[in-house]
Amino acid sequence: MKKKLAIITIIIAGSILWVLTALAVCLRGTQTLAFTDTVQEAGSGVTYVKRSRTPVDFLPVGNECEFEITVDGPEEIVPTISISLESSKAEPIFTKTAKNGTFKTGKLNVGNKKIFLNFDYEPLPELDENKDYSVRYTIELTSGNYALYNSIMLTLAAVCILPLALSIAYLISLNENNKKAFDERQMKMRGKAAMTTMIVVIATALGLGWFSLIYNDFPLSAYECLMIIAFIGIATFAITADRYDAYMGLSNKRNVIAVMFSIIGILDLVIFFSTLRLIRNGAEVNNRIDSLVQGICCLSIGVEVFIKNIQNKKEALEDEES
Amino acid sequence: MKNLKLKAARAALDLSQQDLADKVGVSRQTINAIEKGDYNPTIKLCLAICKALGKTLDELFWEDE
Repeated sequence: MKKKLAIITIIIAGSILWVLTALAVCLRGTQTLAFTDTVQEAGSGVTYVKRSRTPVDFLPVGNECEFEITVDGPEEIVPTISISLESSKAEPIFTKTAKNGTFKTGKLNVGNKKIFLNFDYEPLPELDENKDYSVRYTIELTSGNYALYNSIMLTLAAVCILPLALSIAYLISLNENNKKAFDERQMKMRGKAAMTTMIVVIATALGLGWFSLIYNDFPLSAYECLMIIAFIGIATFAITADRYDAYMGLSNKRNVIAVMFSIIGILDLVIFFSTLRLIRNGAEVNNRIDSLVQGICCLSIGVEVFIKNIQNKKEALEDEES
Repeated sequence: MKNLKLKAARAALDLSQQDLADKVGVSRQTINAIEKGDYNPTIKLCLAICKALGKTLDELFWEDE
């Protein structure tokens, strides 16, 4: 009974911790956006050659926010930056003509509405016709609302750590008292699974390295690559070891393990796809591909353990009947 | 190659794979793998199985021509 309670506590506290931390990371109090615009004097005025982001907008962040904008471009280009609410064509609540450097907008009353940033360029006499001018903008948005969400979610997440740690410690102390029973075949199969895992991990590492060499804009950071390799390794070992009936120490906990991994996997995928939707709607939030890989790996382990459990039961039943 | 002798000896004593596995101290999957011929047990495990079933090594593990 105590053991079941400890397992349930781990699942619930772990899930809450996972979701709240992920949300807190996604909805950070400060959002940063960096992009480059390329413009050209075309006789009738300054026109865009390339816009890396259209429109430049942010989802509602509460009633008050502040922007810190850095402009980095050639001296001949002087952009006028205006901020409007709900639509890019609405009356601006803030306008500034900015030369190279960083400026702050001060606290803006945005009334929890969608925020649009517009960039206009005056045709100056010193501009060469048909020459491309690139201007890089770094925009940092700080809002009390997101910061509040962030701190509330992190506080709630921290509350879950204590029961989680206590339950894990209790389960570990239980396992120490149990004598582990495994046989020669199971150990041999574990070695086979480890070998398969090693091959897959090396292939993944080489594959990622190869892609990073081929593509100049390789989207993954070193941390994300490491996480992807680690999770693919864990999933490969868990799945192959279980398929080979190697020793896993799961004999009586198969259903709990299957449910736990499936929940973690589904949560990861839900978080990844909801963040993807936020990004499509224009929000600049963190979305890391490693959470997608993590979700797929955890879900695969959960499904495999569940299927293998059914197969084992069926096999044992067939043996008893024959 | 399937080990039908082992399966027959086990069935003669009305033991399931799990019962034999418990007696020998291995997992049910290991007994299943030996019977299906997927795994070659060590001599130590063969002796343990023979003792549990009251048979000799020849009777259970000698392959007929």
